[in-house]
Amino acid sequence: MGDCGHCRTPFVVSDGAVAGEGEPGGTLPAGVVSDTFLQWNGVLWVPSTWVLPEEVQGGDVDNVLTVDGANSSAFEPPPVITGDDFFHLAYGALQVNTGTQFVPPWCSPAGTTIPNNAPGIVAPFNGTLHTMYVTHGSPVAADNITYTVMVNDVATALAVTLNSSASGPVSNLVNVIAVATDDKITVRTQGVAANRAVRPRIQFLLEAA
Amino acid sequence: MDCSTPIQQQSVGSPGQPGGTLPAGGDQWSFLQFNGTLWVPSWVMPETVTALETGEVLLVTDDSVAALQDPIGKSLLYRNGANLLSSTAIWLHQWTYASGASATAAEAGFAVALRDGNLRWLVVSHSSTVVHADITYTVVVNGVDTALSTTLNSGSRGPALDLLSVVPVVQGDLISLRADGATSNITLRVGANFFLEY
Repeated sequence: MGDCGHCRTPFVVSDGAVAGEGEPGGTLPAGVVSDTFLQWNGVLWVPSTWVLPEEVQGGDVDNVLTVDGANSSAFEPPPVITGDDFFHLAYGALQVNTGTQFVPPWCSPAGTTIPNNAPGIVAPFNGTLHTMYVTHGSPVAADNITYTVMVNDVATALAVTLNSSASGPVSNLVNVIAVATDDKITVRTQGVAANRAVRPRIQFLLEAA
Repeated sequence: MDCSTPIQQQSVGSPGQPGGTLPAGGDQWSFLQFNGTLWVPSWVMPETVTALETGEVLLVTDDSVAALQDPIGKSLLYRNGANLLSSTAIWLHQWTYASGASATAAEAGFAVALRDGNLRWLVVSHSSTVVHADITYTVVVNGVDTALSTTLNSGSRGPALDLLSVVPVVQGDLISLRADGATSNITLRVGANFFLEY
């Protein structure tokens, strides 16, 4: 290098044009808050407005990313469902036949009620049965059909009557029936003068004790 | 004059390269992720996090999209199904998929809301498939379409999800599920689950 005064300062040039801060092809923007990340706002790469955990450790296994305050998140245990729990039990058939019959669980749109040895739903825990609703999908004729919840083949007070000419719903929101683990829960029908393709649907709650 | 202009060349790497410049943007609110070679746009994260969202969790809500959601709470499971759809066989049966969909909601069987609460988290899958068309599955309450809806092509097993919509119901409401989009008979097995969160 020579000694002339006007050319002593070395300068740097790139081998290509560099766009502005945060722009594609440009330079990284300034950081603002620790643990933010770069996020694309549609025009620029910008620091996020919220933070992610700085690290993930073995103790975080099975944790989920959870908001723990304004602009902040952390890995925390997943929420636990606690307290009283309800389970939706449903029965149904295409047709209700004469005599004492039983409705298969979880519906049977192509089937009929059956006379005995009805497959039931086995109570998986102690609890109570209540909040019963019945509908008819295809009302026909005019028979009063009584739907009764049975526990271990014994009729309970959880029952409703719906005329075969009506679609319902009808409900029994009064009676509460105790059940124990492994009790068999079935639904009986009585009252039809002839086989009726009314498409009954019977639903009620099993509430855990 | 014997001085020469000193020039120091510095090479700036390509977009996304370590030491390089920022890459092009991706979907809005994607973030930068290293793919082993380059920094590239990722899937989409929420734009903001507010105090009102405390306790919410990050949930995948669509392809390449995650959003903050209230975790599902105490819920009743509801399910509808059918093994055939057509332009008129559109109402899925409660619980089973052992027969074709029905022409009316009543015939398919209403599910009754057994508690007050919100219908959430619709998940639809096809266990057998046939190339045909996009089928839109919509939860209907008391005969009115709700926002709880998702679309799944009949040639895909899915699942297709709607984890965002929240539909309030009161005890006794009648709930159905309709499938629109089949222009001729489609033999496929569809199952749709959703929750009544109470």
